[in-house]
Amino acid sequence: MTARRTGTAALLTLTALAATATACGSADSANTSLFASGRVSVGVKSDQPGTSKLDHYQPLGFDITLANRLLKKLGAEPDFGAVPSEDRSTVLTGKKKDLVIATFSITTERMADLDFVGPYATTNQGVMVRKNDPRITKPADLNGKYVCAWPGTTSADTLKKMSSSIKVYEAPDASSCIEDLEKRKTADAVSTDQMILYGFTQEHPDLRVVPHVTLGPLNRYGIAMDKGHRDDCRALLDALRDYLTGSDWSQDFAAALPAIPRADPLWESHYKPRVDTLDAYSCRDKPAP
Amino acid sequence: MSTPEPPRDIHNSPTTHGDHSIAAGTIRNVVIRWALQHPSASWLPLLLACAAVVLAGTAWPDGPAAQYALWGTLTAVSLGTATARVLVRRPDDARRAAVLSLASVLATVGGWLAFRDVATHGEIDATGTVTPQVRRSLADGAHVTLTLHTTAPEDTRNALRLTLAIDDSDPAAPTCRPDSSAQVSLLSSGLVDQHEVRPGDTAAFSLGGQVSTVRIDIRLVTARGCLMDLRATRATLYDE
Repeated sequence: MTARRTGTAALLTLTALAATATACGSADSANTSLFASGRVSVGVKSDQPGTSKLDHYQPLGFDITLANRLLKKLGAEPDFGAVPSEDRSTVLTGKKKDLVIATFSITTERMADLDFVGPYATTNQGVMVRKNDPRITKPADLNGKYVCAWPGTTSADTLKKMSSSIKVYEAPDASSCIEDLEKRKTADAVSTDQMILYGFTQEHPDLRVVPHVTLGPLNRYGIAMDKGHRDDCRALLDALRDYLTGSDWSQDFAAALPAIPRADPLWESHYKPRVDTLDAYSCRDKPAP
Repeated sequence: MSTPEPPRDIHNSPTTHGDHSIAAGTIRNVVIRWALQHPSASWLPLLLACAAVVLAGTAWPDGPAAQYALWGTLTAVSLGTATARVLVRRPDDARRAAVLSLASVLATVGGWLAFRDVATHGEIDATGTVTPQVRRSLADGAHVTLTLHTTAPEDTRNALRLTLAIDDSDPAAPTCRPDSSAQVSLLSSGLVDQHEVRPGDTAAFSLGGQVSTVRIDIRLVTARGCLMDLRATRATLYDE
């Protein structure tokens, strides 16, 4: 009788343990999905017209359109919040944001800490000057000039590697660089990705992007997320693949950044990534192959 | 009446006739009896197996461990059976002792032959002999000449496998790895043998004979504005 009771108790304990383990497993898998709640916190830039600007708390720009399009496909809605360039990685690893869509270039170093979905746009680094300033027409003309960049981007490093004669300095943010160039005239040029620079020219008609001056390697923008969400990463990748395959990408890009189609007749081949390149950069710890 | 005996084939006869003659059969019996019954003889297979291991150790040619699998297996068999032979002490275990001795000796000989085959034709890890080990910050179209030199005459082989790593020179810059590749060709051979190698891929070359020095030309292909590091992560010489 005692033996039977002990056996029954052991069986019940095992059943309870198994049930607990199953429940925990289900809870974990449900919690790990970034899209499960239907609301996704998305870090964006707040001061880049054309790509991402929070105008009186109304987000506008290509990054914003992209976030809305892709998350809608996944049955979720974005909650946008401003993120400075230098904090784009830490807000993800610190779990303050679920995604960052903020003209964030895919690099080997960043891929080690974050997962990317992309590229969703490609752009070269370029140079912006005052409209009536003819001094800079080729990269060598930057020697001896004051060129402004801002922290947390790859732009300043590219300039420093090009030539030690370029007087590169970093202002606190993009707006400060624009002010230095346009109003204070302490900068001779601002250098960052051409896609961002063309966005600025839409709000600052006194500035222009120098045509045919490109610096460094091609930047590929990716949607970043913390590691550990590979299923979400692949779902987002499929949504991006669909988006790039149809005509929506071109329409949305031209609507958000009309200055680019006006300046560059081949804008689609320069800024739209090829669908077959997505797997080399997406949901990996290191770029393929 | 008795019938006369047919003539005997004296060359194949185990017996001999005449003064001081010893039959071959008698010699065989003496040797076998000594090998099976003398206390010292039980150690012979083990000594032979150990000698083979020591000789292999002094002439160890390195290279991938997998190619020594057959040698390792046969050596284990020879040592195991030789040890078992030493432990067989009872006089009535003559048949078992004979089988163990024979197995041990055969495994030792087989292991030695397997080892010699690896030493003569096996793969040699020549990664450490490649110069330069790494070239940094190369732009599109840059040429690099890698030289691989083996000093020991027994390390010459007629084929080479080369694995190349092509990585971003600055990991903090936009990545160019998926856009990069290398055109690799032999300089020291008259053969036209060019390979397109993606980062982490391996190219195999026929060297056109046993050579000790190999020179390889590498042309980097990458996107505009990219700077890449190029490194030979593995170089293996082997015989085709």
